[in-house]
Amino acid sequence: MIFGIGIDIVEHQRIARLWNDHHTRFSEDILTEEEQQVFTSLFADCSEKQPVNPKLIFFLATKFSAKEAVIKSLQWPGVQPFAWTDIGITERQNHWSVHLKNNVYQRAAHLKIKKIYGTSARSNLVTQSIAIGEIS
Amino acid sequence: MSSLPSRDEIFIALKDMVIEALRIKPEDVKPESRFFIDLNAESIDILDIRFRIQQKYKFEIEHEDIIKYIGMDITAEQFKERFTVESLVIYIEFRLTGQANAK
Repeated sequence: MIFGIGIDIVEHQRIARLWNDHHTRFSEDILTEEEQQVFTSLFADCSEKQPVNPKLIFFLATKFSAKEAVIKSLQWPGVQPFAWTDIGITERQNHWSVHLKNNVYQRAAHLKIKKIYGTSARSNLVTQSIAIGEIS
Repeated sequence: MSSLPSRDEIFIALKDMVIEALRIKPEDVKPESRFFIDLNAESIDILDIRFRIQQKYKFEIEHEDIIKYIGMDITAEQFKERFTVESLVIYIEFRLTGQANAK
């Protein structure tokens, strides 16, 4: 049974601006250690002087919008502190699975959510993610 | 020994950061401006502003720090009302004062 659904859309242009202005401060803030390893292995040669790699932007856009969607699917009644690194997104063929920590994990456990999963779709301009939290 | 910036100086600096991050007009940014309500900011914009604050003032801000400072266990609507430019100015001042006292 579905507990909650979260949806988020992020503009690639906005992600690109964040990357151009803040580079690894941005990626390190939102990516888990595992995601960082994947990110580094894919984009290690992307230096500040090169034009931005579109695939780098798509990677960050997917992670960011997916994590936003996960938070929304948990339907917190108020405002609760969390870190982007409390949510790990592992991309599969046509969907992604989620690994949670700290406050986000505790929220899901409190709701007896068994599984959170989702998918992302990309156009030229935006990435849209949807997350579904199931309690059984 | 460098002195701490005044609250007005912090507001001016933060205003520039907000204008840059949100790409809005200077006259739109007032101390009482609510980020999510008046300035139409989204979470990604707050991320950008947070990075700019860190870069300028040389202290780290975790994502949850601002939430904890503005108020926890309040409704989303209450948070949006309280999270103003002035509240962020005061937070920066608080952090700078703490940083100075720690030295």
